[in-house]
Amino acid sequence: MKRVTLKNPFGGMTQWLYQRFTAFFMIFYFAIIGFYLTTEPFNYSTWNHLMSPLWMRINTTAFFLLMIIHAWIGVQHVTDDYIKPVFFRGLINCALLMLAIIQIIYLSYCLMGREYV
Amino acid sequence: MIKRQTKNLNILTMRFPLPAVVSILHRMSGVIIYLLMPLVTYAFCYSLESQAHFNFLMTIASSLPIKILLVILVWGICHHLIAGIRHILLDMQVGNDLIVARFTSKTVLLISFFITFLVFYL
Repeated sequence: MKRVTLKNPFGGMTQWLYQRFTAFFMIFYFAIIGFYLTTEPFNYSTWNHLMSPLWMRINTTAFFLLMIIHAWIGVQHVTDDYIKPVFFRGLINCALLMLAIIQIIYLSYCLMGREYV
Repeated sequence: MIKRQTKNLNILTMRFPLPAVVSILHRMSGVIIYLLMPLVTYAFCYSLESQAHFNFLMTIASSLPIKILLVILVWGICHHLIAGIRHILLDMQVGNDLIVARFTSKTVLLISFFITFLVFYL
C-alpha cells in the first residue's frame, strides 16, 4: 500500500487539507460580515465603513484568494466526475480557472485602489 | 450456470437517503456559487463606488428575477457553509452513526432554510 504523504504539493492529501483550511478561514470571514451586518443597519455608509480599513481590504482579498483555491479544487473534483473526455474537461477547467483569476485581479484592483474613508 | 443480477435502473423508483441529499446539495450549491461569483464580484466592486451606485444596486435587487437569484445565492452559501461544517465533523469521526447522521442532515437543511428566511424577512 502506498503511504499517504504531504510531500507532493498537488497530491490528493494536500488538496484535501487545503480545502479544509481555506474553509476554516472563510467561516471566520463570514462571522465578521454576519456580525457586522446584524448589529448595524445595511446602507451605503455602514457598508463603506466596513470595507474601508486596510485590514478589512486585506481580509477580503485574502478571502477571495482562499475561496478560489477552495473552489478550484472542488471544481476539479466535479468536472472529474461528470465530464469524461479529457480534452473537454481540460478546456472547461481552463475556462473556469481563467474566470476565477480574472475575478481575483479585478477585485484586488478595485479594493486596493479605493480612497480611505 | 450464469448468475443473473437483478437490476433496477428506473430512476423514478429510487430515493436518495437524506444524508446523500445533503451531500449532493452541498456539491450543487458549490457549483451554483462558483457560477454566480463573477456577478457577485462585479456587484461588490460596483456597490463600493458611490452612494448612487449603491442605491442603483438596491433598486435592482428588489426586482423579482434578481431577488430569486439572490435567494438562491444566499441559500447556497448557507447550505454550503453548514453542510461543510458537518462534513468536517464527519471527517473527524463525529456523528458517523446512521441515526446521528440522519439527525444532523435534517438539522443542516432546516438551519440553512431558516437562515435564508431570516436574511430576507428581517
